[in-house]
Amino acid sequence: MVENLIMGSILSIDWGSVESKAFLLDKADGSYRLLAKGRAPTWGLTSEENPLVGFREAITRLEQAVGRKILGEQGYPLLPEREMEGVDALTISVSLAPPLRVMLVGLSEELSLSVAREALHSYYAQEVGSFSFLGVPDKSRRLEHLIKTFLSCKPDVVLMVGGTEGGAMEPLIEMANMLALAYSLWTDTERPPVVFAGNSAARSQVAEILGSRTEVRVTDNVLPSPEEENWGSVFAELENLYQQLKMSKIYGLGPLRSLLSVPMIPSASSFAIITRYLAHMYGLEKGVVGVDLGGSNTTVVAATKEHFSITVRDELGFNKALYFVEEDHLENIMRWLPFEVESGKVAEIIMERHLRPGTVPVSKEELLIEEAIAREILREALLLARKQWRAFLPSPHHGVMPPVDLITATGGILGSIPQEGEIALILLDALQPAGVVNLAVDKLGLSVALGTLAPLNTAAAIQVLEMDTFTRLGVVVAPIGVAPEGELALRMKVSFDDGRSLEVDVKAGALEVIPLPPKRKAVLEIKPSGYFDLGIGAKGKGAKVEVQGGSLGIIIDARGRPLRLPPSPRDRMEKIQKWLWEIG
Amino acid sequence: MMAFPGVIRISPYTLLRKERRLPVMGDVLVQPGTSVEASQVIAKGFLSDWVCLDVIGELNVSEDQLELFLIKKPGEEIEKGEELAVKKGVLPFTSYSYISPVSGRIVATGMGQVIIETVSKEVELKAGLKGTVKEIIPYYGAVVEGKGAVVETVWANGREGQGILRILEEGKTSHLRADDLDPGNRGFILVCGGVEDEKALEKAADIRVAGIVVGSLKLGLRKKALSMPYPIQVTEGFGDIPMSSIAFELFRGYEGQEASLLLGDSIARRPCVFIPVAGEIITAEASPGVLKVGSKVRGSRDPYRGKCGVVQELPRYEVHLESGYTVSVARVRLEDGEEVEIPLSNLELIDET
Repeated sequence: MVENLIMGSILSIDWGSVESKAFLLDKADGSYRLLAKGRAPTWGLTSEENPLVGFREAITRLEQAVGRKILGEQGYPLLPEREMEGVDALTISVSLAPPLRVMLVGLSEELSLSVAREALHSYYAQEVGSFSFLGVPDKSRRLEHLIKTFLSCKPDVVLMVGGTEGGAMEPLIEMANMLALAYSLWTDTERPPVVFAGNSAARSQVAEILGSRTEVRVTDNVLPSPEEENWGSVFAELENLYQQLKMSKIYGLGPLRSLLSVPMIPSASSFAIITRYLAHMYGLEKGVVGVDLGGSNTTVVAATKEHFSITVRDELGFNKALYFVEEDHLENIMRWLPFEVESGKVAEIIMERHLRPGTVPVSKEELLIEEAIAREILREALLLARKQWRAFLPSPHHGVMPPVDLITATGGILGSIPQEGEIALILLDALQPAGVVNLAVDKLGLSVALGTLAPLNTAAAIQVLEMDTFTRLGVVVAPIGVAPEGELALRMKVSFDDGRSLEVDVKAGALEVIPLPPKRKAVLEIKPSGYFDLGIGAKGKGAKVEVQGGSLGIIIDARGRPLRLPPSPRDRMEKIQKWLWEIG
Repeated sequence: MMAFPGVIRISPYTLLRKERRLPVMGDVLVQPGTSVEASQVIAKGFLSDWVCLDVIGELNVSEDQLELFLIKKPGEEIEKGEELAVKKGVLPFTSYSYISPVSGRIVATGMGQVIIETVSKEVELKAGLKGTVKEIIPYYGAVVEGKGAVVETVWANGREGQGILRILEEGKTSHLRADDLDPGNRGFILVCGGVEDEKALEKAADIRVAGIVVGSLKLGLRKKALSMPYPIQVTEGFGDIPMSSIAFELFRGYEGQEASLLLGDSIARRPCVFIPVAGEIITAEASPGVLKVGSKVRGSRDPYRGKCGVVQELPRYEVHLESGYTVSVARVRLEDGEEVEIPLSNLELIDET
């Protein structure tokens, strides 16, 4: 056991690419609580490029909030705490390092490389070049193409894939020989390691061929059979390499490293730890989905008690939504707006958020545009994430989110939206939870920082997680299916813990909220109509569940799954405005 | 006083340090302390290309026999048309030659192939700014420090260059049109409010302007701007915002002088316009900007985007915005005399040091 190594004050930092957040945790009345927080932009406080300036400024603001000195003369936290100065422990999660630059080398574009490409999204990684063995038939041209791509894209890592289990090895061996030849031409001192995630029978030969040229790491085959994809161990290697090759090079890290109470870990990993904790701690059999909509990237974590998966969509963060401008996908964003707007206005807001990440919308119109951008980023991130978790979180209906127990959300934009109803509506529209699902939002971004603390002091992490991290928005009842608008979607009896009860009929297409304050409970007896399944796998089958309240209460989302927006712009805008009013 | 998030440097006189790096390893041609001109080449390198020659296929020999027939070995140079490998024929006095189709250096052999590195392009690294070499980056370049005026901008099209500053006649609100451009603008960096259309960008390329600095760029012109062969920088943002008067007036003060358009680097991430000015400068260590009464600021979001002013008051109360946000604000007197409350998050502190 390594838990509870530190019993005193703890400074937990999440050092992000846009914002640095500092949290001071200490005991109050016998349990750990969040005492104060400070946040500052990581960059832009000075003209000079130094992330330590933002790091220190976040702590300085925390010092001002709590009236206590934490930074020493050299600009680093004082450890341990002495006479109410400094702290006893320091933990840091980081997402400010640039992504791993990965070159993909595979047998075929359609199978090997497309799977490897998706595997890359499991972590902070970007594709900088690719080579398909079967893509170039001529032997000389093939080698030439590999060499040119390898030497010109200068990857941090080569991810080599190809072959299913039991398949032919010869092409893989030839590809390894070609790659070894390409490595012999590498002139820079640090040679990129190779991660081999192909046919396991070829591992030893591939390692032997390439081992004299560079470090070779082998993982499970990403494509064991044409029907099965396995990204888990590639993720683990990318996580290791990101820490080794990217995080270790963060400017100013040297002196900080010696102060750390536990090794620094990437923010996505930290967020995954907390999401997994939630699944374990509350015994959530159906699992948890956590989304972190950050400035530079979006992380989606799905966890059950036994399994978990991470998807990091790098370069798809709230301040890096250029994808929608570049790919001309602005219509996707505009469909979520209750008013007409020029696509140029939406594009302008995307560009401005890119250029100046920390600004806040002044008008309601701009806020709703930002919320629409958030919806589409989450939808994009979820598309891929669902592929990754389908093995352990299958959905009973194609294209519908599996009925999980809990959805948590965090990230700069989601944490800052003033109206909690609007946060809930973003999650309902983008993630489309199905069945009976609890919704919670972490407005401070504490859940990302706490994951680093968990191995050091589990009790502290859990106490702060339970008391200070999440705002419960409520519980969503979202039957799966589609019915003509106005038809009965479900009949529900709500028995409140104060003895009152209420019976409601909810029609298809409706979005309704029944208030149930936080810390209050109710028993729901839900009977969906024959059009709808409550996530149990049978249409019309009812369920009785006890639920807890939240700032919104019980949200009945009978708009159907998958959610379909009215095709006519006028109808769509009216609907969206109505939903905004309904959820408040 | 309070620590402030966004700082933008618009300084009439400061020190600018820029890291200048070749994209490939090469030779550095300067020493620490060397005075350099902006257009001076300080390092040179070569972009390589690689050609794989299927020698065994041509000579019809096996892979392991390749070395036996090679006349030139790895490490040696070879000219186009020169014999690379020879195989004797079955009949006396007959032989089969493999003639190299390219000039270059043999860098490796293997898998029956001979790999030749050819030079595809020589790359030269310019100092970028007039100044002094402070530090050498072995094999790659140097850190150059210059003294002068700096205007940090918010966007650049990925290109750098030097030229003489020329202010467009109608000033900070004017839009550059193709009709405004004639060969007399060749070699000049044009400063104006915006660009009218793609034709103007194309015409500027045709007559070879040295660069364009605008207050704002219409979003629809972004892609075109990225494809232009000359540097373009934007001081305020995308849309239709005039250039802030503080930046514009600084440019006007240096009209006719040589300026450099530089990209962000690992020292300072923002692109900037640099105008060298002689003199002595004392600089303080960089520290977070501090907002106080009297600070010069610029709005960074609608409805005050691009508007400059001076902080009159930092109220203790918070303000509820139409968007629902409750925020700390600064009371700012804008240049037209109007006093407005602007969220602190939507302000940039102008660093004039």
